[in-house]
Parts: sequence; structure tokens; C-alpha cells
Amino acid sequence: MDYSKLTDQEVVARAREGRETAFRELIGRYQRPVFSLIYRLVRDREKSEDLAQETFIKVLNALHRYDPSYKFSSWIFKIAHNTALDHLRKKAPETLSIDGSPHATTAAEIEASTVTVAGNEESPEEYATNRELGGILEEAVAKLRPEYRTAIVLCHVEGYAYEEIAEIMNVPLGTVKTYIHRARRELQGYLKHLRI
Amino acid sequence: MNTGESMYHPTAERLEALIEGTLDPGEAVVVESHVLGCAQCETEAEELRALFDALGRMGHFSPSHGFADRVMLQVRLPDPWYVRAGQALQTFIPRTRRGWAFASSMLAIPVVSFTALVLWLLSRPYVTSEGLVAFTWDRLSGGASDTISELGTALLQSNFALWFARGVELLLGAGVRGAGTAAVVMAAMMAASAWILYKNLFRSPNRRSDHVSYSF
Repeated sequence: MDYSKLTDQEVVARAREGRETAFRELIGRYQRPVFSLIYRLVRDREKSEDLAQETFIKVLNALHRYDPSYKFSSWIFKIAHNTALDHLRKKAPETLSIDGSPHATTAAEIEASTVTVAGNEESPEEYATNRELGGILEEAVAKLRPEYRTAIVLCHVEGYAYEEIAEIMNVPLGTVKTYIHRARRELQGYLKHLRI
Repeated sequence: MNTGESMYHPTAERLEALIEGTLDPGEAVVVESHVLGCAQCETEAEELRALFDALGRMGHFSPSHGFADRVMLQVRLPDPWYVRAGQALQTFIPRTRRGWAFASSMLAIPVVSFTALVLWLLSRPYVTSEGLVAFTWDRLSGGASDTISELGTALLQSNFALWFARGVELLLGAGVRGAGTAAVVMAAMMAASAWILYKNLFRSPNRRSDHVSYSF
């Protein structure tokens, strides 16, 4: 059966009947947008894959609770956004390195008093991630607060209206407008000297 | 926009709305005409356009190969409708041998009894298949409720009832051959009933020695 001509709602209805091909169609339609949103928030490819996978598992296992009057894409982005934010909230401080006690006099004392917590060095995967996300604009977007990032990506990359973004992010419409306005201002500031 | 004429400049939000195309047409004309005549606002608008353009070109990233398969491994597929229907029906299926025996007898008794009764009635010289059908119809239309009567009428007036009556008539008209065929049908039904009873009463994967005394 050709699912490409069906709407999301129609594909969901077939998935609810237990058709595996319909599940795969939904994954095919949303894997890139969902992964991209999470990747831009988390900036770690491996972790983003895990979180995107978690998002799809949550969504597809709860299809029976999906309300067809609501846009499927909004629902899946809402879950992706919440999953990524939960991860960011739980995430431990990325790097903490204290270069030894100022009272240390010998090399051994400096080494003994040096505190390094969690992955100070860039792994090959992180290097690849940073290269992938290393475009000037991506770097500028990465400097935004996660809320601003989501709002900007949903607005400019996914083309959502402010009202839909408010629904996805579960914030008032005015807040979304403020997020997007401030994000644009900040981006302009970051990019000013580069003349994009 | 912090010049002395800032009160004449559109706010940053309105400028953004103009670039986005979300301003009212009337307001858009006013703002646009200002932008065309104001170097500062024109620069601002150009920067915004460039930013919007760049953001709009931001693409999607792809997860690694096999992402869908990894997701599907952890998705619980709902059962198709026929499986759910089967599961619903299973609640009516007996779970013990006694239950099966009871259900089989309950099913066999009316079928065998009804068939025997019909055959016996039709074997009487004064009963014909048309007469029997007419009698049943009369009884149904006279005694049963309107709904049952309508259903019965529809059934009796259908081609199926006619074919059934003709089939029975042919069977009886065939003399010894008809009686033989009827006997074969009855024997087959009895054999099927006996097989169901045997399978459910006396045959078990964990057959114990005390059940061996039962023979068929």
C-alpha cells in the first residue's frame, strides 16, 4: 500500500490497526525533523539518536491515546522537545577542571590536587559532531537558550505558526513571540560581524 | 532606532512582522513606505531578511542508518482486528475437557435432534416439504413477535429456503438412494460428534493410566 499520499491522521489510523508499514511510514516522515530538533538542542549525535529513539517509542506506543483533532506533527515535536529538555535538565555539568592548588609546589602536588570531572577531552564522536554542527549559523543557534533554539527551529526550519509553537512548547503565545524576537536579536548580534 | 526620530521608526517587532509577511496589508504599506525612505530601517530590514533567509536554509540532520529498525524493535504493535476478534471469541471457548464435552453436547443435541425431527416429519406420508415450510411460516407469523416473524419471513422467502426444500424433496424422492444419502449424512454428523467427545473427554497430552480404562 502506498502511504505517501495519505495524511498523517490516515497513516495513524492504519497504524492503530496494527500495520507495521504504517508505523514505518510515520518514522520515515518524522525521523529527520525530530532528530534535527533534538540534535540542535543536545549537540551530541549519539545522545540525540537515543533521545529521538525514545521520542518515537513513546509516541508509537501511545498511538491509541492520540487525539486526531490535534496535529500529529505538533504532538511528536512536543514530545521530542520535552524529552530533550528533560535530558538537558538532568545532564551533569559538562566539564569542571581545576588546575591544581595554588599552594602546590611540586609537579606531584599539582597533579594530586587537580580535579577533573567528566570528559574534558573531545572524543572522535564529539569532534565529528562539532564539525557537523560547526556551520557559522549553527554555532550561533547553539549559543541560544534551549527554549529560543526550539522556537527558532520550529519557526524557521519547520515553518510552524506562532500558535502551533506555543502549543508544542506549552507556553503562552506572547512568550513564543518574545522567544523568537529575542532569539533573532541575539542571532543578529552573533552574526553581525560575519555579514551573513 | 535610538535617534531623535525614533517615534517615527517602526518597532523591531513590526519590522520583523513585515519581513515575515504577518502584518495587516494596510499597516504593511505604511511600514514598507517608511523603510524605503529610511536608511537606518532599510539596513535593519535587509539584515533581518538575510537572517530569515539563512535560517530558512538550515536543513535537517539524518539519524544513522537503521534508525527505524531500532525503533521498531521496541514498539509494541497493536494486534490486527482479526486477532482481537479471535481473542474476544476465545473467552467463549471452554478451557476444560468437561467444558468441551458440555459445549459439544449442547451443540450436537439440537442439531441432531432438529435434523432427526425434520427427517422424521418428512418421512410421514401426509407431510410434504412445502407443507412443513408453510406450517413453520404460519406458526412464526402467528405466534412469534413481529421482529422474529419478519426475520423468519425473510428467511423462508429467500432462495435458500426454496433450495433447501427442493433438496429435501429430491432426497426423499430418490427412494433408497435418498435414504442412503440421509443415513450417510447422519452417520457423518454422529462421527463428528463422537470425535469431538473423544478428543475432549478421553484424549489428553498427559494421559494417565486411570484414563486408559476408557475406550472408544
